Amino acid sequence: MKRAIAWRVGLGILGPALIVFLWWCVSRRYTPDQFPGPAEVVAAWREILADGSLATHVKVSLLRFFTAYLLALVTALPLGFSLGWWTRGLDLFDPVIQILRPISPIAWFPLAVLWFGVGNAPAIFIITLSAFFPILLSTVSAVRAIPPAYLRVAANFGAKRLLLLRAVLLPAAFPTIVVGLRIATGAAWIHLVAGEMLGAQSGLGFLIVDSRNFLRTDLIVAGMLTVGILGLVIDRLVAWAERRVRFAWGLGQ
Amino acid sequence: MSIELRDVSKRFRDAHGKERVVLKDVNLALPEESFTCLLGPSGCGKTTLMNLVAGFDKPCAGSVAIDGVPVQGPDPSRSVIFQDYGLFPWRTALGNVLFALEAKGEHGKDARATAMHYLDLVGLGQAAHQHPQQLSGGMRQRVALARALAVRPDMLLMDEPFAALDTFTRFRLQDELLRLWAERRPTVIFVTHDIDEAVYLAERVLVMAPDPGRITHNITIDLQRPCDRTHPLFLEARGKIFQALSLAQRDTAEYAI
Repeated sequence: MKRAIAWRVGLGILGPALIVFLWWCVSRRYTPDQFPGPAEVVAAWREILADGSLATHVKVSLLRFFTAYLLALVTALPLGFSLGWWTRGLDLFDPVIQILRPISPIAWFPLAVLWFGVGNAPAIFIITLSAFFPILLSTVSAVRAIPPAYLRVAANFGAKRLLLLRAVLLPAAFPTIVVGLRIATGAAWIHLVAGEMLGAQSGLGFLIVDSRNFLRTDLIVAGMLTVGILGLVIDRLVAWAERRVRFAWGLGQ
Repeated sequence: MSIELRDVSKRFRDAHGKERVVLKDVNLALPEESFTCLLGPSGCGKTTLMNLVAGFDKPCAGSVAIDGVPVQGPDPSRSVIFQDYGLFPWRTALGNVLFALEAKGEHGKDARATAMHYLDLVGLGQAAHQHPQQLSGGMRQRVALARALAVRPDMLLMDEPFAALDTFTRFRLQDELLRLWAERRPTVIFVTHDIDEAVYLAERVLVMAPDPGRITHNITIDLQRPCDRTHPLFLEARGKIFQALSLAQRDTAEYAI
């Protein structure tokens, strides 16, 4: 057991170390402007850490991310529950959903700018959109997959609508919804950068575009790595929260 | 609660769109506080019959009445116990019993006390805070029983509740069910395909046959409860039902020819 953990940790460190080494080897063949090495990137990182600009960008990005995610939640969850419950509603709207879903959220950007101007709003709109569909679709299928036995039990005891929703439908659908929530987190984080690259004047996406304008490739890579690491942290947080709730609801293991 | 079925028929369309007569012209009158077993091979419509009484389903023809009032839908006064227990996995044993009380509008300390009382009644007071996955099949069915009893129903509808349990657990739960029935006297309809179980539990066994689903025999079991499974009278009653079942099967074969 202990040995297995030691192996996992060891390999988990060795892999990235190997990649960094390869990166360093390749970067030696180019100028830092073309292909910055690990050392330049770390230096760039320390620079934006020191002047506080990294903290500002991260704060702005996280705020946009959570705002957009929350917006997607409060719209997609109720809509998903309604469409999952009333089959007629799904018949009515499913074609529309299936046509809108394959459109990349980025394709909405021109319209988003026309509607909301520049600044926070179009970025938040795009992130919301990217999280909206995974949550909506997983909620619809989760509600439709609720075993009829649960509904019979609820009907047998004469459960009113509110109790049915709170005590039966929500927890019964939860394990499937959670899968969508996690996909939505990933999609939203990916589109955060895209949204910020297109119109915003702050945030990690802006940091990357802005660095390109000044040909600061070291800053570009530093920005990219920040996005990756924060994405990993957010995913782990969601996974942890998921486990906690599953455990509290007796769905652990 | 008394139950009366008059000329009840029920048809379903199967997966191939073919119409199947699940119940045909079923007539039945069960008195208050009676214990009745529906016995028959699979496909004879015993679960369908129970679902009609529970109000989950409506007959295509005929009428189902409880105490003279036609059944409109499910009602807490008729508690159903399912073969797969129907427990909510996200709630503890206590939480599952509490759900029935919450649905009735009972909350707070009193509801908790009531729920605990019924868990104790089925011998599960210790397991109140465990989730269904942590319980054995027998314990799960006890939770379902506690939940059904907690709303103080006048009728218990049990759909092969012990079919998935091992023999010893089944014997024990049968005894507990008889004890609870003797204490509270709800009207019980108990669906089973186990002859011994039917003889051991019921005052009356309705033997059913498939294609089309119907009641072929109405047999009264006159034994002291709880009875000895090896007693000659038990074996005699068992023989009577066995004969009725094979007769029913022969009738079906002739019906098919």
